[in-house]
Amino acid sequence: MKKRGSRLVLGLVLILSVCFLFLLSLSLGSVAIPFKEIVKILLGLPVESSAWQKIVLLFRLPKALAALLAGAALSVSGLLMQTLFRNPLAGPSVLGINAGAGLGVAVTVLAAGGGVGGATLLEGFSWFGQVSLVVSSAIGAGLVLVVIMFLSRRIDNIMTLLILGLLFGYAAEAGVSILMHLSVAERVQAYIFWSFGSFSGVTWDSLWVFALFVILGLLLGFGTVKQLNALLLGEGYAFSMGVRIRRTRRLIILSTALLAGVTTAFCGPITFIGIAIPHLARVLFASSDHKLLLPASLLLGSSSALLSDIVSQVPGQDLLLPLNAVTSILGAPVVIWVILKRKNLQESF
Amino acid sequence: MIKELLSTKNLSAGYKKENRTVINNLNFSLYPGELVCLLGPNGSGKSTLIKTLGGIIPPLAGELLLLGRSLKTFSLQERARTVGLVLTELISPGYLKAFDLVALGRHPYTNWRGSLSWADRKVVMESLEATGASALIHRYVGRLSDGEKQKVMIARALAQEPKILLLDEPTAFLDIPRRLETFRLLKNLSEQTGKTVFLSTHDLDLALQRADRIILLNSSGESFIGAPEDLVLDGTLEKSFLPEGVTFDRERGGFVLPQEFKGEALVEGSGTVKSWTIKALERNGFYPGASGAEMKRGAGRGMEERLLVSIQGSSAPYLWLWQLGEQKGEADSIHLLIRQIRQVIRFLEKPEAGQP
Repeated sequence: MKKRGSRLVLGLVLILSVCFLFLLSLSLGSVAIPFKEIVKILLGLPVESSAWQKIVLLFRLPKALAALLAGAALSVSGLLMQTLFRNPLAGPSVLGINAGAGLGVAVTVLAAGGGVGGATLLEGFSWFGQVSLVVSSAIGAGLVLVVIMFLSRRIDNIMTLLILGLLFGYAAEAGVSILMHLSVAERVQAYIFWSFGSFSGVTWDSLWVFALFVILGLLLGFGTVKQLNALLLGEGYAFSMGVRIRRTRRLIILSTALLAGVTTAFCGPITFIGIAIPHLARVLFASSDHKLLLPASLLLGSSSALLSDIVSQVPGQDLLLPLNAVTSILGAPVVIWVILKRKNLQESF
Repeated sequence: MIKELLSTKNLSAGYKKENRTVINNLNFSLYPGELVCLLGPNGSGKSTLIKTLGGIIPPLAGELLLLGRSLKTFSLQERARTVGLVLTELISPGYLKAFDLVALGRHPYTNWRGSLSWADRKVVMESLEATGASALIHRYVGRLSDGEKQKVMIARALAQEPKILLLDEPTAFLDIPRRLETFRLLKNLSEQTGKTVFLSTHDLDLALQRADRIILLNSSGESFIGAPEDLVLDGTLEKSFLPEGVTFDRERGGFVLPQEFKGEALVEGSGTVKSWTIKALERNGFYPGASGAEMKRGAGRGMEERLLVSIQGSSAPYLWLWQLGEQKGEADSIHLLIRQIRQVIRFLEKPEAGQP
């Protein structure tokens, strides 16, 4: 069991890297704040500048916590989907939840005439505009979730469910394009801005709701760890070993929908982390065991979300890059590396 | 009296949704320590029956009793502890090592996280030993050969500590030596552990050699059950399996593609070289003694010649002297012998074609 030791080291490295990136994201930004001061602020000790204290406590801390939660949620839900559908390209978005959220936001931002959400959004990210965004995307995601859960009770073939999820996604995107076509330029711009994804929208007021749903989703996901491992052999074998297939499927879908839905609602549709991170976890730990993969994906997901956020803020500059562009630019080489290393992604299932 | 582990009463199996019944009124029992083979042409419902017995699809009608109780009354966990299943599909979970895959078989015994106790580990190791796969434990399953993978999959089913092992065409993807090995392994398992092994297969000859009993399904949904020898003797096997142009050799217990009878062969010699020479001659239509007489009855037309072959030498290199009609010759390999004989036949059939 020489492997056990190296896995322990790897796990520790991951935990430390999450901690380090968390502090780094508090320290970096348009204004750089020294590490020592960050620690003081977090411990509630007196600091040199009260502006620094405000920046860290009011803006950077909730943002970093949101990145932590979103990264964990997206990568764990991606892992769940890849195992459930036995498909290496599955991710949090395959069930159409993200697209549903997108449609919800599009309706609010693009179509709601002089409605509260759209109007306030155009005036900038006021608290009220933010809440209406979250609520509308949560409604969109929730509606798709209800439909998917209803269908999963009646559909035997898991691949049918995958295809239906993808079709939901296309239909929702079609709805969004129509709304964009009929809307005015400023509103389209506001929608596009939302679709870039961002962790800065989460405030202290909404953070606890976000955290609650993510923790609930993660608990549901971790609760199915034994069934997930059995599902590695396919549903036939899993059933022969005593796994309640439909119940397990519903739990996994519910967990994914909560994780992906709430993340999209609070941070926008963040791409790539959900697909790329589970593969990275498999390769790093050279294992398909979900007892390892779930915590590994969680930690790797949080690190990558924090890193993407730091890069998108372009430290020392006033420039702000779209978060989704950063996750893709950082994530694509990872996936390419994994594919080249494994030669055959399908084999990792 | 030995108690049956599994029994069916008027069992009908098939797919309710598609309204398709594949198997009608099947009655049989499985006893401890038996190796029972399920034979039948493609589409006769072998997989359907295996899946029904394994509880994956519910029976359409009739009763299915496990340990004297209806399978319906079993919880999933109880069922998983009684019946182990090996399916046809080849799986390749790339980052799972053989040990971990077999350990998945402990599913019906472990806690919610699936943690293995020392007792669980011991069962896993014993299962791997029973299938001769102990050496593979640290290898990734995705990188095993098909034969090794099959051993690991059987070990995984054993790790469930089932009383009955159901296997759906476990030899389908294997080459002939691996097929023999798998059959020997399953036979040993049934004999030594008292588990009942029930498998579907297309390997008729292996089933005839190794099975305690055979269940035969034909494409019209009928079934026949008995010791292999019984089914051979009463002609059931022949009737259920026979496609056009294939005959069943009851003496040897195998299907043969008969050659047009060309003549009777008389072979002088002994041992292995004699039997292989006869094989080659048979392939070309010359049958020795008794079987020659039988073939003669079957064959209506054609020339009938008497071929004399005498094998010289008691070990390699051999020399074959032959005589067919007025032609004679000698050959230092079976290949040459056959070629020379063929030339003579061609000449005898069409003399205008020229001298051999």
